[in-house]
Amino acid sequence: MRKVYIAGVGMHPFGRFLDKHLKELGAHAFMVALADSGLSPKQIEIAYIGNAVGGLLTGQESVRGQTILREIGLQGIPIVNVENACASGSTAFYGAWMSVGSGLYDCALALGVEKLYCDDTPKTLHALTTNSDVEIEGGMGFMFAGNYATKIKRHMYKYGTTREQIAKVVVKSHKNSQHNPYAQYRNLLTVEEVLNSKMICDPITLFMTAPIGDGAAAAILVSEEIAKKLTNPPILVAATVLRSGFVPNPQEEDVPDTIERTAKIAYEIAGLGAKDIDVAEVHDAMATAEIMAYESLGFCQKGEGGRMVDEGRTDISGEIPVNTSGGLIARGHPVGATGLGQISEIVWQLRGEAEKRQVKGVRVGLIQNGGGNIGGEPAAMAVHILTR
Amino acid sequence: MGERLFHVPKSAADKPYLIGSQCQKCQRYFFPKRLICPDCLEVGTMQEKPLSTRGKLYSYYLGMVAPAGISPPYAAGWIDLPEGVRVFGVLTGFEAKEENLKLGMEVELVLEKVGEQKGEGELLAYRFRPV
Repeated sequence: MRKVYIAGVGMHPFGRFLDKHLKELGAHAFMVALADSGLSPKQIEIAYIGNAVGGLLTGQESVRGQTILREIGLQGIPIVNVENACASGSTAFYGAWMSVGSGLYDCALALGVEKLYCDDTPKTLHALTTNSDVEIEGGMGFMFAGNYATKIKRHMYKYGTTREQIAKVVVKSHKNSQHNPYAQYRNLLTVEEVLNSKMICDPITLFMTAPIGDGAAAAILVSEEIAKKLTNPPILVAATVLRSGFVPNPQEEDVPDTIERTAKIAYEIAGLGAKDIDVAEVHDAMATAEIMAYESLGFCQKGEGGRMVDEGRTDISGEIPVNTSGGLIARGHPVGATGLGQISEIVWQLRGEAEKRQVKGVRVGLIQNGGGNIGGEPAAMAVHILTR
Repeated sequence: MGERLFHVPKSAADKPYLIGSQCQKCQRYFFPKRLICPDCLEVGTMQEKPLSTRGKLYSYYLGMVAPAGISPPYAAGWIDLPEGVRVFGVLTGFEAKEENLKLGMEVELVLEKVGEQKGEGELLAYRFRPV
């Protein structure tokens, strides 16, 4: 595989935009990424569009990519519509990376876009149940938040993780997102406010969950030859790994989970380890997932995740800043767009463009983006490692 | 729809059970049943097998909100069956509150009517009841 570089990234702010169409959200993110890259739209040779529930919520079940890209003059080129629930954005990125890395194309677009908010919460929640097997889980009373609760309950039982530690993840996310112009929520929160928000399923309260919202994000990937001619410092895709979750032997304890398995491959490909990561965006669909991700990604030992938050080790000023953007919880989680939103944040960190969220001396960034559920494990998992 | 997943009793003496499969090569059990063993990846090793109807609650959640068709609060979780499979199920037949839930508690399979299906009669779902 050839080396692949990120020439440009762009986002439409995440939030609630009832009056904006999928096409407008996507067009906005693309235009920002294009301007960022300095490339001409004529150079885009292939495009991957990530979107999860656009069919159920907007009615556009098929050819979403083509309908969106037509708005911005992209036609004729191969357009691939990809879906992997909340990892759709990363899956689009993976497709773009394979296209350029294989040598078949020199410039590829990855665009993630989602309209989750339709002023009808039950409709949105029902659409989200389809990211589980509807035959046995999604259609049988399975609740995504519930699955996270089952995992953290075992974690609390085994390691003594506390509700306050979970709440501190949210407090940190909001502290970070106040500096993020793209974030859905930029208000500060206290531990008490998080704990006292509406109970969803113990110990998960409303403020510990990612919100319903809309948004888009894009990345343009290029070959080394094109990257050399850019004015932006090109960002190398040191590793991008996509895997599917499975449960090897359900009743065996301490088996590496899907995040750990996927991250291990990414670290190997990049020739790096967890200690080399300077900043990370992880998939905090619920705050509990962030604590467990610290462990699965190797940022700390199993069971230490709660303590990491207590000690501020994942703050912007900490030893391994996580979710400087505010994460899914505060930046927002329009599912198809999230992966590319996470990638955008890491690119800005690597380029020194993260302003008040900037971590000092960033050379290596990691993104972890999961999607859906299969038998209790994430159905899809992506881990990317980007370097200057 | 349910016949793929569970056995519907034909008489009062007949009991419901989940339909799993067992790989005759590696002996591992699966639910839902698979056509091909993901570990051995060979054709023809899978055999349909009824699963035990009692298991232990590996973990659970108490939902203060619920999906359509279920009234909150409701409990659900992952149930470990003796064959080594872990199954998701809604918990039923008791008052759904923290005091009545415990990691590791014994539960058993029941079938419940959850609705009507046009032209097909009752819509049944499998759930688990604390023993």
